[in-house]
Amino acid sequence: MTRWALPDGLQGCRQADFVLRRWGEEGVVYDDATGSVQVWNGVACDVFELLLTRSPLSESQIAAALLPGEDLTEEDFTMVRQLLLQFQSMGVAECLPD
Amino acid sequence: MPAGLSAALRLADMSLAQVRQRLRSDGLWLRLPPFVVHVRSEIPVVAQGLHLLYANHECLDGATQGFADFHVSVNARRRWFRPLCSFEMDGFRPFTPLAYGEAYAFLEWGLNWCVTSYCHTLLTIHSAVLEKNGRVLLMPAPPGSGKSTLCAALMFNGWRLLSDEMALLEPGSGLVVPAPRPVSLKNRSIEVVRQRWPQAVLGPVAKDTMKGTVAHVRASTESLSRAHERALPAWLVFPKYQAGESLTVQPHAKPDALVQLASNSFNQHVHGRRGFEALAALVDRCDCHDLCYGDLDQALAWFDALELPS
Amino acid sequence: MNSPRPSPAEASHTALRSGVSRRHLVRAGLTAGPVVAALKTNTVLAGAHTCIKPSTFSSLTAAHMKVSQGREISSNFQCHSPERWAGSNQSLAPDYKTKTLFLSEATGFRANPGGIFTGKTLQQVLEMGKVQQNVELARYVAASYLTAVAYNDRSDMVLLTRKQCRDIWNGQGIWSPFKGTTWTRDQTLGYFSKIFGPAFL
Repeated sequence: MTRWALPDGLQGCRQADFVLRRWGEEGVVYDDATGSVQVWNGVACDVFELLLTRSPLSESQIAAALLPGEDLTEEDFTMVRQLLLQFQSMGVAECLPD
Repeated sequence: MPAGLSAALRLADMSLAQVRQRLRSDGLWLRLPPFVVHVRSEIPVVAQGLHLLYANHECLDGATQGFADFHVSVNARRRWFRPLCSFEMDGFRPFTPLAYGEAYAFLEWGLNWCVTSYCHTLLTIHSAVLEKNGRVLLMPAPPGSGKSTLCAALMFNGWRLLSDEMALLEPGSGLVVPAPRPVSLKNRSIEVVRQRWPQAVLGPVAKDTMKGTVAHVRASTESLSRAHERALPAWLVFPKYQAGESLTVQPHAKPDALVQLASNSFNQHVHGRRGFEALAALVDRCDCHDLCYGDLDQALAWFDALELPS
Repeated sequence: MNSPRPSPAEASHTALRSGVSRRHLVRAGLTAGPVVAALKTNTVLAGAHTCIKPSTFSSLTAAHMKVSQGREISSNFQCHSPERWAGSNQSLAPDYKTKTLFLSEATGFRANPGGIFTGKTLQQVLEMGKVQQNVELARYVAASYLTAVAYNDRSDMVLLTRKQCRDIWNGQGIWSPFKGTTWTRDQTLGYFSKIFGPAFL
C-alpha cells in the first residue's frame, strides 16, 4: 500500500518548515526552507493538513477523510494520487517506499 | 511654535541661509522619526525643500548627537552637456545620477531606499499608512493607483499620517511604527492638492522626472507631534482610481491579501517565518477591501465611515 | 487566529443545501491544481531605480547590484515611465497616443492575452491600472515603445528600441535582450521594475 508523508530535509522531517494559515476555504502556505508563499485551494489545504498532523497516510485514507461517509471510487483515489504527485513535484510531500 | 511639538530646535528656527550653510559644511542632523538622519548637500533646492517640508522636524546638535542611522548627501556632478546630481549614503552611490533639478526629490527617494535597504529590525511594506481613532489603515498599491493623492487627502481630512510610502511593522507586537515625512505627489495630483487645500505646504517641483512632475507636501503637524504613537492595523484597502467611475467596494479575500502584502514587502524574506507570521497576523486582524473610486469626496466619506473589524 | 472553517461533514451538509455535492467540490479542488496564487520573488523592491540598458542590468544583477568603485554607469538614457507617458506627449504629436492602437500594424504588437487589449489605444493601455501581470507588462512596453518612437530608436538615448519592444510583447516577456541570453517573463518584469522604479515613487 502506497503511503505519503511530508518530506525529509537535512534535519529530519520538514514538518517544522511549513506554516499554513487558512481563511474560509483557501489557505496560504509558507515554506521556511525556500521562502515561498502560495495560496492553495481548500482541498489542497485539507490534504496538506492531514499530512501535517497524521502522516504517513495512504491515498485511500486521505480520500476517506475528504469524503467521509461516502462510497469511494477508483476515480477518487486517482484524483488524490494526482494531487499528491503534484505535492511531490513541489517538494511538500513524498511517497514512502512499501 | 506649532501646538503639540516640544521646545527642541526646529528646522524652521533656522533661516534658509543658515540651513544652506549648514548643509554645505558639517551637515544637518535631523530627527525623522523613528530615525536620525545626517544630511549634506551644496545644492540650493535641497536646502529649500528641507527648510519648507521639514520645518517642524527637530534639528539636533551634531557635536553632541554623534550617532545617525543614515549619513546621506546629494551632490552636484558636472557634465559638459547636462548638469546632474547623485545621491550618496556613507559614500556609496546606489543610483545612477539624475538631472540637477531633481535633487530634492532624489533626497526623498534616497531616504526611502535607505530605510528599505537597511532597516531590518522592522518589517517594511510598500504602502500608504494612516491612523484614526487609534487604528491603522494600510493601502498597498502600485504606481498609478491614486494612492498618494488619497493619502494626502486623508491626511488633510483628519487622518494621522504614518507614512505615504512605507509601513514599518514590529514583527512581535504587530504595531505599526510611524515615520511621517512629506507626501510624494505626481502630475495631476499636485494640482488637485493645491486647489483643494490651499493651506498645504508644497515643496520644490521637479519637472521631467522619470515619473513626470513630482512635488512633496509637508506632513501635518499632528502627524509629526504624535510620531511616537504606534498603533495596531485594522483595515487593509487596495485602492484603484478610475476617472468617472462610481465608488465600488468589494471584500478582498484574506489569502490573496496576505500574498499581496508579502509581494509588497521589502524585507519579508529577511525575517523569514517570523515575517510571514507577522503579515498573517496583520491580515487576520484587518478588514480587507478593494476600493475603486472616481470621486475623491466619495472615497473620503467611505473611509470616514469605516468601522472597526468585528 | 484563523477563521473557523467547516469540518468535512459540515461542508458536506452546506454543499448539499446549495445543490452542490461535497464530492463535486472535492473533485474540483483535486483537479484544479493546488496553487491559486504565488508570491513572485521580487528582488527589485529592495533596490534602487536606475536607468540602465538590459546588458548593464544583467551584469549588475550578477554583482548583486553593487557597482565597483570608479565604475561609471552610462546614465544619459531617456527613461520615461508609464505614469509620465500617460500625462504627457513629450515630442510626439498630440494625438499620437490616443489614436494609435496598442495592437496594430504601426506598433507591431500582436499578442492579446485574454483579448483585453483589443481596440485599446496606447493611452488607454498606459491608464490601465489593475494589477495583473499582463497589464503590468503592457504598460511598461507601451512606455518603452513611446520613448523609442520619440527618440527614433537612438541607441545613445533609448533603453529599448521599437523592435525590442515588439519582441518583448509578442513573446509575452520571454525574449533575448542580447546574444546568447533569453530572459523569462519574471526577469523582464524585474528589469522594468528596476528602470521605472516601483518602490519609491
